[in-house]
Amino acid sequence: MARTPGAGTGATVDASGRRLRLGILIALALLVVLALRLVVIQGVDASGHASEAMKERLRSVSITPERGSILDSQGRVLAASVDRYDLVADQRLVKDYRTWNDDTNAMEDVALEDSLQELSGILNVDAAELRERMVGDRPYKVVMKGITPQVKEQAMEIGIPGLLAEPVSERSYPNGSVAGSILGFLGGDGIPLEGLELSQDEHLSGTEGKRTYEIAADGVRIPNAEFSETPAEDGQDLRLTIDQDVQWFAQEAISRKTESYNADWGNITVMNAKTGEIVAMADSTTVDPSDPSATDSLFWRPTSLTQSYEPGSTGKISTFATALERGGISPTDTWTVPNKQEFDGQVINDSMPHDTYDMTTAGIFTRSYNTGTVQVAQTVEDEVRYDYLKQLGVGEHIDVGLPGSNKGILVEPSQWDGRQRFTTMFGQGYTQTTLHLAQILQTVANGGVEKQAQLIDAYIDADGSENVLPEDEGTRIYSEETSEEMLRLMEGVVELGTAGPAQIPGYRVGGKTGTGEAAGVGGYNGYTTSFAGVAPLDDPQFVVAISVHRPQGDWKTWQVEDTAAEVLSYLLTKYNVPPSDQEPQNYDVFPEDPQKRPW
Amino acid sequence: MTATQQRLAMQQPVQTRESTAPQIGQAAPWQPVIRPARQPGGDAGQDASPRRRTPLALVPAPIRKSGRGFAGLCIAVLVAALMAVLVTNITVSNRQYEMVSLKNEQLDLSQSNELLRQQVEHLEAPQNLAAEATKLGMVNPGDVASIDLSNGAVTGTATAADAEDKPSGHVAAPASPSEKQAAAAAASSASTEAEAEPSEAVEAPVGAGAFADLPAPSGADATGNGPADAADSPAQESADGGSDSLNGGTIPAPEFSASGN
Repeated sequence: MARTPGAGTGATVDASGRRLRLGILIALALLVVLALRLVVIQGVDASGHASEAMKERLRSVSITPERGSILDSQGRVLAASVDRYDLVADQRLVKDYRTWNDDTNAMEDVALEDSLQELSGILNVDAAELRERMVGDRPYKVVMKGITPQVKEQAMEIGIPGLLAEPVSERSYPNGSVAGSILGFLGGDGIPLEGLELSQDEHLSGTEGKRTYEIAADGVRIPNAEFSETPAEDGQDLRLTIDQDVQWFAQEAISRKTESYNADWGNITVMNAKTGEIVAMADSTTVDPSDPSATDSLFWRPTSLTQSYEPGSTGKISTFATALERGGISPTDTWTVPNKQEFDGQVINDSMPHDTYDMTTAGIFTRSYNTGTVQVAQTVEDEVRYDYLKQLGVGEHIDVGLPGSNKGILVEPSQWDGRQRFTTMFGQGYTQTTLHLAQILQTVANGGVEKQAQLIDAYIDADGSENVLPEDEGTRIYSEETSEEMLRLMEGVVELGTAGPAQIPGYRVGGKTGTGEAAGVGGYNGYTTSFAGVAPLDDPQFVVAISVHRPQGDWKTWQVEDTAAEVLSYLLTKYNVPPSDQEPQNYDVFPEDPQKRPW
Repeated sequence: MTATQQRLAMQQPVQTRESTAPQIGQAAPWQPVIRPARQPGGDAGQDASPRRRTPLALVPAPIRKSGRGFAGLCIAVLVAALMAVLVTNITVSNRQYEMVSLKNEQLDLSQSNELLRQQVEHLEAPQNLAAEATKLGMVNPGDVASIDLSNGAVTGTATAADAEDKPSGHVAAPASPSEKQAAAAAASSASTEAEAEPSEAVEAPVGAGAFADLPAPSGADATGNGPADAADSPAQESADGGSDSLNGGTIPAPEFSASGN
């Protein structure tokens, strides 16, 4: 280059040579400028500029994991996440606009007012209300929350400037209030507030992912450029032991029963006798997770789990089982049972006056006489009775994976007062929940082996692999012999005793009724009537515990065993348990005939 | 081969001097001196007369030819490279458009699938099943009997169902997916429209036709139809979330919302 001007001077200097030289000078000058710029960029703050440029190109997007579904035991969806949109407006941009008309192939002016009318039709919001939300000078204003993708599409098709749709995830509960209290619900901001949604959030929510990539000036991702993606880990699905059909049936049944007695609340717990799996946990009123505020917060959780009460005569199940196990008595031993009897200065009487009878152990249970019960219970020490109650779970939380379980109140025998010693024998003086009752009956019905109540069957990973929770190995509490005797005792209750309406034609059913006094402000001022039933007795499959709190009217007319029979009958049919037509094997009530005597 | 030729040429400069020296000044490697070297023996008698002509007539020709070929090759490589870059660019950007389209299509399909799934779930809800069954005149069953297939024994006594034994309907039916839509409540027409929409989307084949059913990205009126006037474009762009969602470009970014299974 340097040589060229030299060569030029040697030759004749003419106009073209001058132009050439000028051009070269300009080119040189420009080159120098470029070189200097290069030095500035590369030399002065090279890494700073590089990272700034990178920042310009780099986009980072967080990937929201999908929240796991909650399924029932048959894999039907109880709760799932769905795509929804929030319509928001940048009010500064909302105005009349022009748009392309496909029919006329021309631009046409659209008045905002017309668009708002159209949008109001789609969103079903008053046009004036809509105008208030959309017209103004706020850069961000929510117009409508949680609309479906279909509605969003219709709304966006209008093409109002400044109207945007933001994708959000919402929870859908296709069965409404069926199992609502078990599932729980999320708050408006997607924060879990109750039930399994809250307690199992860790499993359901998954892990957020992140995608980082570079984009070119035209908005297209640069291929082969820096790209990293940490995929979101979707939450695990939850499979419950609940059967939504049984759950619905039980909710219907208890709702009807509670309403007919005008009671505060009622609940039913259905348990698989062999595994401890909870098939249904129904309340008289159940929250609809889509609209929790419409329901009293008492029903935001299963009352079977949260409400404890004095069980009354259903408490005799454990009393008799313990006496048969440890008291050295048999179901056919004879006892003299008066209507009223004094023990250690405490007078115990029965709810209705009756003659003094010679009765079998089974007979006392069948007729649920308190005086006889105390005699039977006294064959074992208070401490032994207490230990058994404790082992059966009374006074302990039952952890099924739900928040707010009530452990009931069971104080140690050393703190029992003179009367409580006796009342605990027939189910007063301590409290338990309906779930406790179901658990006790499950133990007795399952050959004396307790299987911990279970609500969650399995966690299912996003890839479909199932992590089935191991079944409880079981704890033997009563001997098989005691268990068999107790089933026959309970059959007597259904065949000859207080629970006639619990009979199911073709099946052998056992159970125990109970009406406990309910403590309120200032002492006992109501009742809790309950029943625990099991069927079929040949091979116990299902346990149903039911209670109705503070029913109104005459206690003699209250019966919940018919509801239990309804639910049991439904279960037996649904799960294809054939009728056995076996003769009942209950014990005699009285050692000598006649068996039918006035109560 | 060329290296060998050059070395040979330098070892025997004399043979070519007569013809080329005046122009070049010294034996250059590219000079056509290879011929004698190639003729180790044989036709010595014929060598004398064509010696002058051979370098003049034959040799420059291949040089010029190969030079032209090289230039041609360079140009061809250049053109090929440019074409390759062009094709790559076109392919890449087409793929990007295609990807966005497919992403949107996937979103659309998963959403219509989700709607259908919700409708199925809604119809499967026990309350709705019971209500439908009652509508059809069904009642709760009576007692059942069963037949043991292994021995033919019949157990239980089946009884007729009670015509009045219907589900009580105490448990409220869940709101249907379309009821939940604020829009659907507006008019029955709105709800039928919403219900008709998914089947349409599902029937659409995956292909060119399906693209027509893609959710129109907001602001597509302006970008899709080209002749948007200048005053309009900024507003439309902002309607899309402006540079945030488009990143300054013309392709709407795919929505990365969680899709239904």
